[in-house]
Amino acid sequence: MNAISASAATKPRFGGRSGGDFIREYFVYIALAALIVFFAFASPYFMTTQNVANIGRQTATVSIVAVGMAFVIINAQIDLSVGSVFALCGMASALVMQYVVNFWLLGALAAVAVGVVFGFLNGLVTVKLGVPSFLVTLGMLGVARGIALLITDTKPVLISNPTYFQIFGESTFLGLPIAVIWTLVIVAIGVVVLHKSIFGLRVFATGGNPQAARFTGVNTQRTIISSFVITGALVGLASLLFTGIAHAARPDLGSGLELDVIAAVILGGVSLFGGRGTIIGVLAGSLIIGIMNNGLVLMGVSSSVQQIIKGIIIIAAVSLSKKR
Amino acid sequence: MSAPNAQSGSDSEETGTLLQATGLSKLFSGIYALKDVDFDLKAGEVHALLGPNGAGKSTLIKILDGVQPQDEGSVEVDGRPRTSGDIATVFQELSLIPALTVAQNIFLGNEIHNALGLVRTGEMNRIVKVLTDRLGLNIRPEEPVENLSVASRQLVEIAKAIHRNARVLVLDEPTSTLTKADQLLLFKSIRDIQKAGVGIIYVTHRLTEVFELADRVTVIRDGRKVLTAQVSDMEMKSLVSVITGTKTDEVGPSAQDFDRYVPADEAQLTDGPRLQVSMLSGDRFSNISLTVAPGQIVGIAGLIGTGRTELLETIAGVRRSSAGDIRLDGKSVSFKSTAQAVSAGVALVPEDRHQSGVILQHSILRNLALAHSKALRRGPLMDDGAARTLVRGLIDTLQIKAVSMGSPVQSLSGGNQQKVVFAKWMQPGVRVLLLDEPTQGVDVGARQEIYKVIHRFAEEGAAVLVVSSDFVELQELCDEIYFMTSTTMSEPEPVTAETTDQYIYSALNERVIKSHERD
Ligand SMILES: Nc1ncnc2c1ncn2[C@@H]1O[C@H](COP(=O)(O)OP(=O)(O)OP(=O)(O)O)[C@@H](O)[C@H]1O
Ligand SMILES: [Mg+2]
Repeated sequence: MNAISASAATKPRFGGRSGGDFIREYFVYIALAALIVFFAFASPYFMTTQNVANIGRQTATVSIVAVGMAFVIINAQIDLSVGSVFALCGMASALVMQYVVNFWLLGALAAVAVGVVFGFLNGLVTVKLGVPSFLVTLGMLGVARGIALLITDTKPVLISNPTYFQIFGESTFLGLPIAVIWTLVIVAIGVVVLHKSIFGLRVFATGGNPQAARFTGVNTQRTIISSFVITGALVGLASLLFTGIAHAARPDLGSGLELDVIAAVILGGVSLFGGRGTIIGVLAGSLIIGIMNNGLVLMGVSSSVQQIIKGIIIIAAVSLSKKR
Repeated sequence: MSAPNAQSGSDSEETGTLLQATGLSKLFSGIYALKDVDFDLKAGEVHALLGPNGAGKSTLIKILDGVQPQDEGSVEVDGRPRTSGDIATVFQELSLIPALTVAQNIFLGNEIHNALGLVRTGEMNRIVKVLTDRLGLNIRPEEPVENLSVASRQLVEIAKAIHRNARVLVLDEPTSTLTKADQLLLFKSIRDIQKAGVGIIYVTHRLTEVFELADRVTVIRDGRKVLTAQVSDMEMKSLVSVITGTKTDEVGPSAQDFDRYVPADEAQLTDGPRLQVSMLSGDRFSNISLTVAPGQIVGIAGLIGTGRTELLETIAGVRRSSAGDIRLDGKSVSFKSTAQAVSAGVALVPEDRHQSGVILQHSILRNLALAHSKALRRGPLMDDGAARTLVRGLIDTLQIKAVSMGSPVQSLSGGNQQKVVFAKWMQPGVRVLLLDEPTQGVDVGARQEIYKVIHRFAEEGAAVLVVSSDFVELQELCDEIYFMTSTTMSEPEPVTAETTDQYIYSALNERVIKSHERD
C-alpha cells in the first residue's frame, strides 16, 4: 500500500530541501567552484595563502550576519537594518572601552546588546503592529545610522585594547585567522539550531504557512521576534571582528552590508518567500560574495562597477529561486 | 451531432458517446499515477468515478480537462480532440481568488465590459443573482470570496462551472464539505443539466450518493481501471469491495498500534464534564451551550454558515469569544492563542486543510514532526530517529499513500493530505479533540481506521467534539448529537439505530424553520 520502504534511499531531513529544490541547492556550489576557478586563472595572486586568509577574514562579516539573516528570511521576513546596526554596535563597543572601562568583554557585550535590542525592536514592531518587516527595518536602517552619526558627531572612536584585538582580530588558531574560527563556530551552531532543533522546525513552519503553524500550536510571533534577535546578536559579533582589525569604530561602517548579506542568503538557496533554505547553502552564498569582492578588487574593477555586478547577481538569484 | 468519420461516428450516434479517453497514462517521478486507462461518457449521463485515496481520480480529471498533460493516450469530445470550451471542471482543491467577489470569480477571464473596456459589475452581479437563484443558493454576488466558508466556496465553484455551459461537467468531490440540504440542491441542479444533454463525471467517497445519482460507475485503483458497470447492476457491498480491493468480510489493518501514542492519563479523569461550554457567543454564533464528558463522542449537526467552524475555533483559541464561558475539567479557560490551547491538551483538526491544516511545500515528516514535537524533543533538539519511527507508524496506521515520508504534502492526493492533517493530532495528552470535517475526502477504508482512532481517543478519556456535514458519519461515530442553528443549540439527543442521516436531516430542518419563526 504505502511505499515508505523507499524512504531509506531518499533520507529526508528536517531542515533544508523538501523535494524539487535539488538544482537550486547545487547551483550555489557549482557557482562557487566556477568562481574560484575563474579568479584563479584571472589573477595569479588569488590562490596565495595570504589572499585566501584575507578572503576568510573579509568574508567573516557577511557569513556571520547571513546566518542570522537566513533565520529571518526563512521566517518570510527581511532585515534591511543590519548595515546601520553594524555601525552602531561598533560604536557601542568602542565608546564603552574608551569612556567606561577598557575591558574587552564589556566592549563585546555592549556591541551584542545593542544588536539584540535593535533586533528585538525590529521583531516586536513587525509582529505587534503588523507592519511588514521590510518597512520596519527600512525605518530602523535610518534610525540606527542616525544615532551612530549623532553620538560622536560623525567622528570615529579609537580602540586600544590588545586582548580585544587578539580575540576578535589578529590572532590565529590552528593556522587559521581568528575571524575564520568565529565563522565556523557560528555556522556550526546555526546548522544545529536551524536543522536539528525544535526552534528551527518552528522557523520553517512559520515561514512555510504561518496560519497552519499557528493552528499547530506554534507561537509564530515569538519565532519571528527570536529570529530578529538572533540576527541582531550576530550583527554585534560581526562588528567586533571588524573593529578588532581596524582598531577603531566609524559611524559610516557597514553601509551596503544588507545588500551583500541578502544576496548571500538568496544565492545560498533560501527562498525569499519563506519556508526553505540551509545554513551550509548560505555559507556557500557568503563565500561567493566574499570571493567576488576580493577577486574584483584584485582584477582592478572599480567599486561602483562592483556594486552593479552585485545588484545584477541578486536579481538573477531571486528570479532563479522563483522557478519551481 | 456530426459524425466526422465513419468508424467512431456510427458508434457515437448509437450510444451517444460524448467524451472518449483512450489509453491514458501519467507518470510522476517515475511512478505511474495512471496507467492505460480508458474512460467514456455519454450525453446526459452521470458517470461516477470512484477509487481509494491516491488511485488517480483527480489525475484523470486534470488530464480530461487539459490542465495537466498526459504522457500517453488521447481525449476526444464528439469524436474530435478536446478543445478548451468543451469541459467545465470543479477541481478537488478550490481555486477561487479570495480577494475577488463571487460574481468576479464566476466571470473571471470573460468579464462583461462596455465599449470603453470598463467592466460592467452591476450586469455581472445581476446575471450571477439569476444563476444562484436558479441553483437555490443563498450567496450574495457582491460578497468577497474570502468571507465565505469552505462549503460556500465549493458551491461558488460549482455555480462557476455550471455558468460555463460546457458539454461536459466534471465534479471532483463536490460534496466533501456540503451538508445534506446543499447536497440535495446540487443533485437537483445536476439532474436539470443532465436533461439538457450534458454529460457529468462525478467523483465522491460518499458511496450512497452513487446510488442516488449515477447511471454508470468506473472504479480505478493504483492508477488502473478495475471496473466500469451500470449502477443498477451493483450493490453497496460489492462496490465497497471493488474499491478497497478486499473480500467483503476481510478486515483492514487495525489501529492497535495506536495505543503507543495515547497513554491513559487517569489522574486527569474526573467525574464531571471534560469540556463544558456555556452561553458562548462569538463570530457568527451566539448563546451556545454544550457538554462533553470524558470518553464521549459528541456531534454537531448544523447548516453551512451557522458558525460551527467558528465555534470549534473559539474553543481552540483561534478566535476570541464575546461572551460566555468555556470550562476544561471544571476550570474556566480562555486561551489567548492556539499554542496555549495545544499545551492544555485541546487539539483542533481544522476544516480548511490548505490554509490551516498543513504546510504544503514541506514533507510529511516535517509536518508531523512539528505537531508531535513535544514527544520528539530531547531538550531543545529534535530526535530524528524517533521522529522517523513515529511518522512511519502514523503512515502505516492511516494508510497514507506516499513515495516516502520526505515527499512534500502537496504531491499527495487530497484524501492522503487529509490523513496527514489528522495524524498531526494522534498524540498523547490530547484531552479535548475538536474535529471539523475530519474525514473530508478520505476513502471508505481509511475512514474506518480514523473512526477506530477516534474511538481510541475516547476510550482513553478524551472528550471528542465532531462537526460533520456528513450525517452518516455523525450517526456512525457519535454517542450524542446537538442540532445547531446560528442562535440556538438543542438539547443533546442520544444516537440510536433510529438516528439515521435522514432523521438528522429532517430534525435539523425543523429546528431551522422554528428558529426562523421565532425571529
Ligand atoms: N504533482 C504531483 N507530484 C507527484 N505525485 C503526484 C502529484 N499529483 C499526484 N501525485 C500522485 O499521483 C497519485 C494519484 O493522485 P490523485 O490525486 O489522482 O488521487 P485521487 O484518486 O484523486 O485521490 P483522492 O481520493 O485522495 O483525492 C498519488 O499517489 C499522488 O501522490
Ligand atoms: Mg482526488
